[in-house]
Amino acid sequence: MASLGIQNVVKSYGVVPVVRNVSIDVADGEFVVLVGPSGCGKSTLLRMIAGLEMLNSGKITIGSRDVSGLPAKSRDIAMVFQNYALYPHMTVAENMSFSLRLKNVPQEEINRRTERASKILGLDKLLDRRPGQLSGGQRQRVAMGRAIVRDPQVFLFDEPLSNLDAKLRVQMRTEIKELHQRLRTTTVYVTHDQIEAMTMADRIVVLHDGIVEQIGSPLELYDRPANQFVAGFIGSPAMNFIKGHVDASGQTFVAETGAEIALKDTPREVHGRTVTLGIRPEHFVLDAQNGLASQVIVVEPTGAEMQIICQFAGQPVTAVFHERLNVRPDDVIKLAPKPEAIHLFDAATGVALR
Amino acid sequence: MSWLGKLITRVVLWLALVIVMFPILWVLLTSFKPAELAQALPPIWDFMPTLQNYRDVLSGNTYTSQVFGVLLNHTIIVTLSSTLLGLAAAVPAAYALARVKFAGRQATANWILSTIMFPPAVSVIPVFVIASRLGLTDTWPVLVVPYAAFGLPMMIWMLRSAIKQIPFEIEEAAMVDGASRGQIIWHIVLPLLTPSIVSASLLAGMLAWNEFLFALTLSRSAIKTAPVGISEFTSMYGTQWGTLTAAATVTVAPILLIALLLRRRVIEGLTFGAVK
Ligand SMILES: Nc1ncnc2c1ncn2[C@@H]1O[C@H](COP(=O)(O)OP(=O)(O)OP(=O)(O)O)[C@@H](O)[C@H]1O
Ligand SMILES: [Mg+2]
Repeated sequence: MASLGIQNVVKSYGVVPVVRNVSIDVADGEFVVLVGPSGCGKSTLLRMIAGLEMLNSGKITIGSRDVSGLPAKSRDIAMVFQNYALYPHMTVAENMSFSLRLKNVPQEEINRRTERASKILGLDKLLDRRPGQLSGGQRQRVAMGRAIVRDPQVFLFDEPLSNLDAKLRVQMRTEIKELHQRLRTTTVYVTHDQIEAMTMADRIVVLHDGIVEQIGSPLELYDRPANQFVAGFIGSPAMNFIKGHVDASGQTFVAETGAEIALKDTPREVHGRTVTLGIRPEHFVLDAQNGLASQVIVVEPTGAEMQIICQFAGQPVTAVFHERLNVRPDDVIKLAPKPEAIHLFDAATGVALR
Repeated sequence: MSWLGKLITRVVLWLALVIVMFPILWVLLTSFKPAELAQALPPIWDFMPTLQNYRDVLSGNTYTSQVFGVLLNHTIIVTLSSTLLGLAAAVPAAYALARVKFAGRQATANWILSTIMFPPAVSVIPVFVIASRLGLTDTWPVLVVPYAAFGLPMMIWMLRSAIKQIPFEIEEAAMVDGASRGQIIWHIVLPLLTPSIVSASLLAGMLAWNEFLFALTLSRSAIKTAPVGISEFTSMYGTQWGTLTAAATVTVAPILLIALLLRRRVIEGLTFGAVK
């Protein structure tokens, strides 16, 4: 196990920059999740860590070793691919022990390690099967087993759960998390699913167009997004954004439609500025006195909560309530954001102002 | 399809089959006839089948310069060597064309494909001249090398398509697992390629097994192959139809058998190019 350092890494395909000057430090034993929309460069970054793509510039270190110029086979990392990439002609046991056999590890040691890994993953009964005879979830486990037996410096996962059905995905999520708590191997995990990121990560790295938007713990990102992109990406359903400005006193946000929303403790610099207001769906309350009259468009009960999409300050917003409300489309409800939960972003740059 | 359509299809297919099979059946039939009936016209249908022709062919009791069994051995040696030599060149070439990025890769691949259309007969005279100058006439390489070369483009093309169908991620997984390129080819690509290697070898092997023109031109006796031997049953004193057809049957039988046993594989291999 070792720490992983990514310093000023740049990668472009031809003239198209895909990863631009990314720096991330992953501590020994940490579980870091790279998250971002499709095409933002997550896989590319992961593949550069693995040694499957070369960097244009920058440096990647594992422990104190600079591995930037090393081929994949010399980096001592293990990777779980999105479609598992198992060796179709080998049994489960052979799949898991391939790397050890390449290194001429004694047979006893191979058996011991394969056994241990297959116990951890519940694969002991399947060791003689071939990948073609396994279910998706089992294949996924074999791919993880192949990584575990090696006891590598770093684990890399590239969207390992995206081929599984919803239920299995949740189950495997927990298993991977447990596995990490048990083995404490430094892990970089790529996903575009922000719930996976939130639930699994020690720290999350939000990537966007090849740039790191923010690095932080899940709750830091949720509570204090650095900018509008992170605010919109983390959290589900996504944060609502409303354009407008803060009045000179700093007490009120005035939407472009003229609707007014009360603010609390706004910093001086914001007073009088054109901003985008951000409010998470779960931070709305029904307020018969101060709430804005909002016409309900759609009601989506999920059982645990109710999502209500309604016309608020001149635009559709999503609000989530845990109590069951008796509302129907076209009803008018009085909706107010909790003032302490309001985010403000610079209208032009999207940088968070509070 | 209506029952009438089905019927017509059946009839047409059976007709085609009979037409295609007729020469082979005729050869087979003749090989079991007693020598004196072999060339009777109109053909005689009610005869006592005999194995005498086969006995004669295999024991060398024929009016030819060499025992046919020896020629068959030559054919086996030439076929195996040329196929193995072809494979040894085709696998790395196919791998490079499928996986290694280099300038002119597609052009090279297309050029190799185009050489499938090259008629081997065109090169027989040059090869003959070169072989004579080098003193190689009637030695193994003079057949093995050209046969390997003629099978090569098809082998490369088939294997390249097959390699392209192996997800590259499997190779990447092996790289991450610590395998070198050589180890990847040996432990991952080759095992996955086995069906295609079998069918490509079979097709190339058939080319070598049946080849006549080069064998006739470039061999005297040390490496004379079965097809040339068959032709020698026709001499200035006439044709020994009985032994000729027996020899032909003995020559065709093994390759027909292998092809039958592996027919599914061969079809898989042949259609590889079609899908991609
Ligand atoms: N070999 C390549 N040649 C050219 N462009 C590439 C290549 N590989 C990736 N790209 C481009 O680089 C960008 C980032 O790709 P990458 O696969 O890293 O995205 P990602 O964040 O993993 O997306 P996803 O969530 O869809 O997997 C994309 O715009 C993609 O088109
Ligand atoms: Mg990806």
